[in-house]
Amino acid sequence: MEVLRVDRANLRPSAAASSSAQQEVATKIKQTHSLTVLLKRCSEQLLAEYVRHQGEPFSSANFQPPAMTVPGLPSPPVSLEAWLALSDGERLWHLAVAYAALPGLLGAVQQQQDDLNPLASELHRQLDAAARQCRGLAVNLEGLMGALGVPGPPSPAPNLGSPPPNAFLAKLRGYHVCRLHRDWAARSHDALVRLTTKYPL
Amino acid sequence: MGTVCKMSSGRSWVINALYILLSIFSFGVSGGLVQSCGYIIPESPVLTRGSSFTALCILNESCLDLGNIHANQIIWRIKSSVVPKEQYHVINRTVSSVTFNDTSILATPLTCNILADGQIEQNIYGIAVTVGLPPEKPENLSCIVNQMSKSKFIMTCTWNPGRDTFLATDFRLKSQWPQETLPDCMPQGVNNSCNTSNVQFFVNLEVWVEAKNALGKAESEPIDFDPVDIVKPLPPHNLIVSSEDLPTVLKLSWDNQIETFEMELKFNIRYRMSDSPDWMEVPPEDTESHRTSFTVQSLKPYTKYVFSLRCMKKDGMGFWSDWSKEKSGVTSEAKPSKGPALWRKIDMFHSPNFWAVHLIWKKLDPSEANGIILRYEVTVRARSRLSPSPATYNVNSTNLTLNLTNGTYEVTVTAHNKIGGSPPSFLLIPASNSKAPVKDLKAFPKDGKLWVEWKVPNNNVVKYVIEWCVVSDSSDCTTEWQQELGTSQGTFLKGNIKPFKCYLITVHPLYNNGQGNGQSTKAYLQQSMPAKGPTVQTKKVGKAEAVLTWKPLRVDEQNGFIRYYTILYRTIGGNETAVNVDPSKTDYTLSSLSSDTLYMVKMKAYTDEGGTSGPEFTFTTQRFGKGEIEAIVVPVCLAFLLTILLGVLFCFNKRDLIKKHIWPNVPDPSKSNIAQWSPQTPTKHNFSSKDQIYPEGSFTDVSVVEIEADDKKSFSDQDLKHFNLLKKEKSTSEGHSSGIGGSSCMSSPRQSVSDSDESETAQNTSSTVQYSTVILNGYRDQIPSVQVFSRSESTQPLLDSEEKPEDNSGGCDSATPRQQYFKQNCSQDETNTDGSHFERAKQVTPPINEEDLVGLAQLQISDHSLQQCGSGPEQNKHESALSDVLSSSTEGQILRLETMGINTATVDEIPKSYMPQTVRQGGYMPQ
Repeated sequence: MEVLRVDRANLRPSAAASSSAQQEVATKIKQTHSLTVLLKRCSEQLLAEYVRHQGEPFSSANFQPPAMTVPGLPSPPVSLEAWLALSDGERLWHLAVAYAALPGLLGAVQQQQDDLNPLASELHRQLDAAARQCRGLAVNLEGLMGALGVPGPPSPAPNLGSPPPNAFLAKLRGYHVCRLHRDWAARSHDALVRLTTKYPL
Repeated sequence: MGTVCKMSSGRSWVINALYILLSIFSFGVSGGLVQSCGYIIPESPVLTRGSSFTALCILNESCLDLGNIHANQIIWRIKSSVVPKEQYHVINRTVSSVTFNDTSILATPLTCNILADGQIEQNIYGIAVTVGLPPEKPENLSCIVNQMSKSKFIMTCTWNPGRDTFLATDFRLKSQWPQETLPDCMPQGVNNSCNTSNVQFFVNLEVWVEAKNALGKAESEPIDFDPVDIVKPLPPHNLIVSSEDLPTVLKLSWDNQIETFEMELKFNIRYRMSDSPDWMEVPPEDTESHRTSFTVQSLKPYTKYVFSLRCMKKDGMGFWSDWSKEKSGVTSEAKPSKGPALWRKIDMFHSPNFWAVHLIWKKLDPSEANGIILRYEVTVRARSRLSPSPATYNVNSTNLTLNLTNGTYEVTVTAHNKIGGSPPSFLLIPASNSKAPVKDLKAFPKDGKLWVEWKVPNNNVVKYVIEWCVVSDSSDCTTEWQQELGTSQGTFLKGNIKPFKCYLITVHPLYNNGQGNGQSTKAYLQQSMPAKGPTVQTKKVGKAEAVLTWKPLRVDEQNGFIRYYTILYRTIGGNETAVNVDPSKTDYTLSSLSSDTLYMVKMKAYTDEGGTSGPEFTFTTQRFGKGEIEAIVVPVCLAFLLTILLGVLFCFNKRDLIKKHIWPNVPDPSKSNIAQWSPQTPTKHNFSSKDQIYPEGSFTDVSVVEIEADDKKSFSDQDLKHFNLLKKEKSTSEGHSSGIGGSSCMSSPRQSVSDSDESETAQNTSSTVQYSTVILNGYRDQIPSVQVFSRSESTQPLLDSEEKPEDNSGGCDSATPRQQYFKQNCSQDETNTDGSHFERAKQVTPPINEEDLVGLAQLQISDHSLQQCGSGPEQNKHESALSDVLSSSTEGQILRLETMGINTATVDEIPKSYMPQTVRQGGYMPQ
């Protein structure tokens, strides 16, 4: 995982900053927090919905495939402590990177599912909504980082890797995208909770 | 072109030839294709309405060579109308321009035409012109996110597209996130709204509308919002209303249709009683937090409530949802909150010591019953006795009849439901009516109901009972009642109050220890015109006045308070006269009428709402007024009477003269020398012989009355003695006749009269002829009476007897008539030649009263008169016929009837017959 150094001083609320600007940031944080709450719930629902439509072994209760990297999408820190140990700026930066990639990955999964499960309309809806939510969160994060003075990440190269050679692998890829989406949603929620407490309305 | 060719002038032929040539030429140039001789710039312009516009028509050089064509020959046309030449501008030989200051007059097509030599106008080119407006800036953009289902939201943005552009204008809703542009929303079939389902909460969205057409593009002001703040959520559903132990609460629970991670909600809860349309609302501050249940308090027990609720985002952003479906629930029962309204009717029995007391009470209002009333408990306690034990009755109905002895009773009624009993209602029976009544009782309609109001008599009134009933002729006053609080001073009558009915309303104030006198008033909820008018008729009609009378309308017909009557009367063709009459009157006198005139009169009864006419009645006034006829007739009669009186007086004064003319003096026989005549002196008529007397038909001067034995029976013994005596006398004078008038004829005052003329002639001759001949039959040897003879010869004694005519007609006691009678009987007997009749009369003397005698006397007299006065042959015939009857009949009864008939005929002539005697009284002048 690439580690980015962020000037912590920039993240502290400036004493000189006007209260209205503070209010604006706090509002933005609150809004983004709400979005992460939404995202967290929706990503969980999406993963469950996705698994439900993929058949065995995915629908098995104890289906726990080994972790697999998805090209272009970093994995979140495994432990919460490690994630919370990062600075606000660092967390925002990591989130920005992840959510820059996720909409494309979710879009790719939806395309796969159009072929694999064309009748799973709810899954399609949720995948569509998830991609939109991720784009929205990316937009909010960018704005938040701008407001907080955190430099944004470079635009990720659209590197989605080669398409999976068969349906199972496609499903497995999709599964991992959905699981990572869920994990990142949880992490983003944690990050925003921190920020919310730091920037109360 | 054909029409052009038909021009018949020589010049037209030339033009025609030229035109054909030109056409051929153009074909030749184009090599078989129609080639235009020019064109217009610009081609198919889109113009802004109201702007100026210039078009150029450029002629091809090739066409110019054809003939003498110049740009100044160009004519511009809009559709078919020519554009005025002032707008043309010839730039050079081949170019003509036209300028329009206002494009709004333009229309398609705009054509360029050339007027070729010889008036032939040919079209060169035409363009389509489109005139319109650039789009206005869309205004009033607003968006709303409607929740369609649990996870589906549709954002609808609406705006004002502005004026009509007359052109195809494309509107699209553009949106973007701060760093990302989103797909446009294209309106479907409309130009002022657009729906999109790509709604992402918690990310600020900027939207605006772009309008674009051929003439330009306009964008609305952008609006910036988080879609979650403009949500109109779906209302909560699955509402459940459940009652709790407390009778005043109901618990609501529901499901929200929006996830809490999307938004938290606040609520409005409204409720109403099921029978009321008015909603109440739970204080909004109680439902500001997100929840799925709520307990509504302060409700009424055992009442059905209807609930519904709505929601919106907790922070107040966005829109309220619609109201949820209504659900109802009933609160638990509680004890009745009030005793039932209690009243009574008392029937006195035959004995005033026993009453039938009908206790009546009202069912509790459901809001007071607080449950299902299972029974009523009635207690009755006599007040006067010492330590009375109250009688208790459990009743299911709302009335109870008690037979009570005279006294004062306290009655209480409590209503019970399954929870418990109500507070008792209290009534005193019989409450003395000595307490103060209400004052100023009024009743009138108000707000479509009947309002009763009064003034409080004093402050101790516990409650009021208002009784009312419909006053009607056809039905009894069925009393309804209601109870009001002691603090009230007015109330609406609760019940089915009908319009046009007269209500009698009575208000009783009830005190703790008695009751005030009921005060009554009458009122209508709504008045109308009377159903019919009064039927008027005349009671009395005079010359100039008429007394009209009518019956008051029945209550059922009045439809309101009769305020006054109007009497409308008119003559035929005359103006109608109206008189207003107080409704309390039942008659009215019309005065100043014309006499002997037909009047039509009708009557209208007026309520506040109008009047209704009764039937028309016609009458004719009299020709003469009261007393007028009398005033005419009485004087006339008086004058007449006076005239008669004067006439009589005159006659009386001149009676001597009159008498001299009318009644010649009858010589007084008593003063006559004949008195000294011997009875044997033969009369002129020489009726001495019996044979001479009785020849039939020659019986002129003799009156013969035959009295039958029956008649004789009625004679008293004394009479009979006289009779016998007479018979003796007669026997001596048999065959004699008086030479001078018959005494028997003269003996009756009536008979002397008869007819004036007849009697006059008779009397004129009486001095020379005998009056009568009395013929006695029977014992002629016995006592030939000198007196009788002398009487028959002299008139004097007869006149003496005639001086008492009343004795003859009335009493018949005087001997004289009887004598006559008997004499006549004698003659009669002589006629019959049967003396045994008298013997029989002596033997059988039936009771005969004096009246019979009178009758007989009159009868006899009458016969005499007939005999006397009837000097004609008919009279004789009659007499002879009579004598025939008399002689042949032995049955006195028949005779009497017959003679009676004759008698009556004679009696009629009595008044005439009196005069001569009166005259004679004044003195008989001997002739």
